[in-house]
Amino acid sequence: MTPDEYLQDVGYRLIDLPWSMRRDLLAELRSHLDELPAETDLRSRLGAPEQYAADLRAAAGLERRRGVIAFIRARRPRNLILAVATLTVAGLVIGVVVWIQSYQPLAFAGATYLPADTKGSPAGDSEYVVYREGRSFRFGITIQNTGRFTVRVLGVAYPAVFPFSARLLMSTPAPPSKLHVFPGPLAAFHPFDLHPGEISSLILKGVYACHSGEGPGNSWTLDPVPVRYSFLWRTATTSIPLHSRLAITLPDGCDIPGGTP
Amino acid sequence: MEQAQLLKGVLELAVLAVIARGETYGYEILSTLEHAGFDGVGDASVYGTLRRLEQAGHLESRLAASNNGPARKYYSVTSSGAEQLQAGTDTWGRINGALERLVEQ
Repeated sequence: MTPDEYLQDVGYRLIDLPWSMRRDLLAELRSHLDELPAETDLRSRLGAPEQYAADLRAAAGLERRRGVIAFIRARRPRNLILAVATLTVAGLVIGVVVWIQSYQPLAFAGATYLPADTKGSPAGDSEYVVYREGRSFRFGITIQNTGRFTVRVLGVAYPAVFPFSARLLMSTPAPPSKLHVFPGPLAAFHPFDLHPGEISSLILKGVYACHSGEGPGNSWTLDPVPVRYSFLWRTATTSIPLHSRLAITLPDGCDIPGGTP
Repeated sequence: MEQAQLLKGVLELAVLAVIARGETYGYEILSTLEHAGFDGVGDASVYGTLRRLEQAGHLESRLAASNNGPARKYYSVTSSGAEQLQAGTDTWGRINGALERLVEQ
């Protein structure tokens, strides 16, 4: 058994002791091993490592230490600091990633631009507009970035086909006081950055038109509005609820080519 | 009674006595003890005793470079260590005297 092996074995058996105490005991043993003649049989001179460690404990009055505090004190302070720092950084990174993954600052800004001839429902909790083939169609909402960071607005993405053909348009950011008037001038939509506090309008403009593949039933609800946006590496769709529900209804007897009214 | 068992009881006193002769380090203490006849005491017991005496404030230590190998830990006796040695030697003398008188009878 080499002095290094002996030292390592004794060190292993003192693993529960506070780090600096263990270091001092092993340093003294190291110094002692270095004093012994090179050909010394360590086991016969010092006893087996486990016996050495046991005798050392007995003579020094060092009980075996257990528990969390002993475990922590047995670690080298530098390693302990490193471990805590690593865990802290990892926790922060996870926290930031989770936060980014859930960051959604877009909200309804309070104004909608409803299609012409929109009527309130008898119950008063929703609005509806009757489909009229070929007539002009216009529907817009205002959205606001209520967060503290800029997001990029990528468009409106209704999951189903609606009975109109419309282009998505956008307005330049407007102050809240101007929201009651229909915004203008409008430009063809292109992805844009919506800065904190800014309000922008998204307008669908076109004509009522039927498409094959429209869903079953005779009513299409436009609320909530699914707005696609991106923030850093993440792209998501958020559903922006309006203050009241808005639906396009089909009059009795309306025939949609290829559809299922 | 085994010599080792008997020696253990007076090891603390013996270690203090060796260090009281002048500042010294572990290996030298062991050699001195062996020459004085304390050859049944394990090296680990001596180092453990040194640790305990130092913790109790009877010894103080300093690290000093050695010519061959790592730094040596040099021990010296504190004033409380000196008192401990004196009290222990007195007690030991009384016990020894009593034992001798018993054996002579």
